[in-house]
Amino acid sequence: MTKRSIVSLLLALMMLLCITPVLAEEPVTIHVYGLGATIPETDPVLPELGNRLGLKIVVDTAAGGADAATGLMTRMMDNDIPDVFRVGDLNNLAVYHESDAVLDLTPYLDQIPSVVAAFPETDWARLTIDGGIYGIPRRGEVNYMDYFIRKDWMEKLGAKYPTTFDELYDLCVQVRDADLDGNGVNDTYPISGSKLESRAGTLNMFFTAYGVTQPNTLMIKDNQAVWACTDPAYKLALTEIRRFMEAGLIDPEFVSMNEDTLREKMSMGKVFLANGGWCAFAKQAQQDVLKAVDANADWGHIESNIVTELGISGATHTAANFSNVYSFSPDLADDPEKLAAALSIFEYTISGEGDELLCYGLENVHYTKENGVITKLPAMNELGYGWAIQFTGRNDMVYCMTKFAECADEIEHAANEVPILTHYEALVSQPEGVNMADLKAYESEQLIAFIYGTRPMEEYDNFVQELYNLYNLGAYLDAATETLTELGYIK
Amino acid sequence: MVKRHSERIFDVLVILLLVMAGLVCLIPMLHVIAVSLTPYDEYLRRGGMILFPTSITFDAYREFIKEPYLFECFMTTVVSTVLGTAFNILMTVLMAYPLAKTDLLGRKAFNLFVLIPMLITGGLIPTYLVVRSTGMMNTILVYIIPGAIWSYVLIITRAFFTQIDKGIAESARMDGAGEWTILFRLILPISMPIIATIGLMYGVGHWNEYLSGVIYVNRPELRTLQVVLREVLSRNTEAAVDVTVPTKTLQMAGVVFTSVPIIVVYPFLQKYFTQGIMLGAIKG
Repeated sequence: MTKRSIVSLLLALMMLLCITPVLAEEPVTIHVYGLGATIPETDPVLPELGNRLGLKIVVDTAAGGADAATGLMTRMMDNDIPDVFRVGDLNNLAVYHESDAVLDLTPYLDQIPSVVAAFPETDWARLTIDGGIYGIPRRGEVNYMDYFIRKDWMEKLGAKYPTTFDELYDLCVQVRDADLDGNGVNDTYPISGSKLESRAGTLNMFFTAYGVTQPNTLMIKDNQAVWACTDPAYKLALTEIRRFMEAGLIDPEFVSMNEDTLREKMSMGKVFLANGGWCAFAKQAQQDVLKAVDANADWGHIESNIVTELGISGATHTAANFSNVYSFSPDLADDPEKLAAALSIFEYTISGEGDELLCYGLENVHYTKENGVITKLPAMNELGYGWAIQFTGRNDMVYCMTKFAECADEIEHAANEVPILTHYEALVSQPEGVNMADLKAYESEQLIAFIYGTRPMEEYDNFVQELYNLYNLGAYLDAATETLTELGYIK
Repeated sequence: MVKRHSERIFDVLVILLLVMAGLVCLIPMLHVIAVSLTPYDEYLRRGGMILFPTSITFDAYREFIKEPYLFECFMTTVVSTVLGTAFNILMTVLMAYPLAKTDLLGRKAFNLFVLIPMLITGGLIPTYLVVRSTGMMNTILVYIIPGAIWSYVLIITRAFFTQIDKGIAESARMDGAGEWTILFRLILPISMPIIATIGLMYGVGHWNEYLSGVIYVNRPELRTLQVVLREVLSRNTEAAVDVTVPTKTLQMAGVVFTSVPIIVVYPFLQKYFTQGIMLGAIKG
């Protein structure tokens, strides 16, 4: 072997050695914290997303809600902040900001132009603290809430759908006395639903018909911030509710119920009219439950609205159309490559094939696509955790119609036909000197007392004054007015 | 001795009261087990209040075991309970035995050292810092090491050891036995009641471990069963569109699955448990 060959060989070997580390280089790993659901080992979506973007996504913990917040706070105290973390309660964002535990995204927005374009100014404003942007907004949900009624019982009674509270009252009395489930026991409460403060609350039909939202909410009325239960219309709504309660027409257990227990009561023939989401009652598995006791039970949305001089019955929806957002570790500012990788997850999945991957899975495995229309395949049912990995939310209407085509009528009706009243409290941060948790608890407790008749309605004005005098509601409303003016909701 | 009429009435009343107290404990457990074994449509037809299923199905259990990483989490819980309890007992005995000796130098100071963490705990964040800096994060050790000795269990064990006749150790020592021999060959064999008692306390504590599984562990397979159960029971709000909320039968199957293994241990330890409590009571 000549000297020249040896030198060539050595050079080739050196080049190979130089190249090998590049070939073997590990992809950038992004730790994502607090998705809220356990992602199964067999999940094909996140690995595919990683492949497409040339990075590895590691889910740090599945815990959601308060557990995730506690865990996150603990890690922040130890300066061990996950690369990307989910913030469930936006009030916590200010706390993280004060602790320098969250990255200001303002200098990096040029790396996510599609994300920037996808959200209106008001959404970004919600995540802005002291001029910096500390999270990526999330696409909100459409309305799912509706009023479901036993249509077979309506036919049996030959009744027409009520449009006034008097007509509803007469119908409910008929149902109460008719033993429509034929079990020989007078155990059917005509109206039921979930607890008072829920968007699926039993009494929302009454509140909305009088032009007000459910308890513990903030409304805008006549261009002013109004704490809902202090509006004079509340007294009228509660008086109407009392009339129904006294006649035994409203399920007295509603204060402790949720959609799960409600569905069980509905299937047992104990309910005639219920407030709830189509996602709790209209899906096939839920329809099977609702027909388990009586195969003829026909639950569908009510065909009319109750109208008063002050409003029309419908649903309530929060103006804070997203609650969970993703924020980033401030440490990423020192690692531009990692930051770019983390941001690319959001930029890629905000629309197009990235969005389709997170919402529907893999093409030809979980869905097919023809002329831009996605059709679900049975394997899509295995992606029940999909909601947890939709980093920027989803185009909700298209998503629901694609995934739950069998509920199309109910989805359409809830989203497009049900009148909606908006409430705004989730947009307002609690000012100093006000404890809204205490105020809300007292409000709920007292409203229940009025509804059950243990506190006379004559004392309602005193109750409103108590909210101002004992809980400093005035200071909250001042803050609310300022915030809602800044966000453009109050002109 | 023939009992008087009034005494007999009193006995009957006491028995009735105890039976009622027993039923109050038994009925909820019976209900949970019965619901978990009942077909969901039958559960609905019978109005939800079931104590004895008329037809039995394991569908709810079949559904529950489909939970991601359930087997791994079950094994994590079993291993952490067995190893953790053994380690707890060893550490507790090794500390309680010398503290029971009245001639131990600085005994009062040591006892105070034990008492303080019972009254004032370190808190979540300092504990987290210790766990992380000692490299235990994301290992099964987080279930075993940080709670190696519970102060009040140590105090119970120490109290038990102080009641043992000193003559046993002294005579063994005269025969040439060392401290290790005395502890492991003489003292421990006659201390089985207290070992079983504290073993049960520690064992139940490990089995019910929840917070460590949320705070110190990021890998899904290292979660405890209680964390999995919490996830199943609370799956309702955000997931509402995508997930059909688990039926009551599935929820109850989860409760049975996560609680029965520790409940079946009780009967085997019952006799020691009673004896352990009694010994303390008589000699106290």
